[in-house]
Amino acid sequence: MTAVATKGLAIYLHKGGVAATELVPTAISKAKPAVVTVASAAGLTKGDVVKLETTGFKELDGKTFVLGNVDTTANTFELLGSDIPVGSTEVIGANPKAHVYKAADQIKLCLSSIDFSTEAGGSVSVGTFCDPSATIATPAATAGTVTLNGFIDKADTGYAELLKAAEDGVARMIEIVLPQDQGYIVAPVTLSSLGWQTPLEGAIGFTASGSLGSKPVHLF
Amino acid sequence: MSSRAVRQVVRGWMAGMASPYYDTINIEQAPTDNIWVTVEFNSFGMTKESFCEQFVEEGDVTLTFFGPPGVGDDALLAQAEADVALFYGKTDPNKKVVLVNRSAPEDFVLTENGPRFGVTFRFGYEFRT
Repeated sequence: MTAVATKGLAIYLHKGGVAATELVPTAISKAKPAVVTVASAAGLTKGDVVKLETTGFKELDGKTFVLGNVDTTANTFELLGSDIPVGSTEVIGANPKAHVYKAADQIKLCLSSIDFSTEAGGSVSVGTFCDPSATIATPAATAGTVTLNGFIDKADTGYAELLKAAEDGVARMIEIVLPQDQGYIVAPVTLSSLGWQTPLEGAIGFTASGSLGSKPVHLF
Repeated sequence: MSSRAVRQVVRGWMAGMASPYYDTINIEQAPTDNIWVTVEFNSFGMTKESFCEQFVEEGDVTLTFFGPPGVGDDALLAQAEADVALFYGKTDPNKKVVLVNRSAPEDFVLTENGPRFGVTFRFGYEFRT
């Protein structure tokens, strides 16, 4: 295993108020990665984020992917990180939906750190006299939290978008493009607060925090 | 070794001071002024501040004021402290170089090439790329 330096890593936040582009998949291949066919792939680019619903494939529904190769002639795009077994008996649903968050609607964030903290499920005691130690698993109440750190700059559009996100509480997609072709980390986040640090010396920093809409995924 | 940008900004700041400024870095100077000042630069290194390849260089700038020997310290300190107050209030129009702290004065006597009395002040700086 070789560790990968963070140099070249880029963090993007989808703009609030810019709706996802809604597409209707007409075919989905059983492959790794799966390839989705739509009526028109015009305007789609590699790196766009897509969330799929009611496709009929459990490997895709409710999950977020990043677009790999886009073919605007065949009107197809790859779902990076997806894997539908060739032998799967699943078929495309009657009302499949693809919500595409275009890279063009993203704003680059100049952060000093980003931390995802995912929440694990717990357990509840259901002990009885026969089995005093019995427990049942419980799902995590939330997917977890996200914390973003950086330095203020009123001229920076990324900082302005974070202020807006902390104010409006609207969910946004965050996408981390990893260097050296290591893929993407993607998660829907809802920021709830943004505070500032003013050290006696040094730069004025900020910390934005919020919740994850679902667990972050590393797609490649 | 501070960056060129730091040196250029600081040298610009020296122009408005009561004490005439002489650049003595790799330049032979022989000031005849009663009180004069020169500058030295020292960097502590550069660290990365964001994933957007933004860096901060930290270091210090030392102002050394020279005065005539044998006449006490008050006249030199009075002029130097007035200049230091002016210097510490300087701002970079490009907002890249900032003085973040300053030291108390330290005096010394040089005996080489004729006696001289001097006082130094150090200023911590941050330079953001």
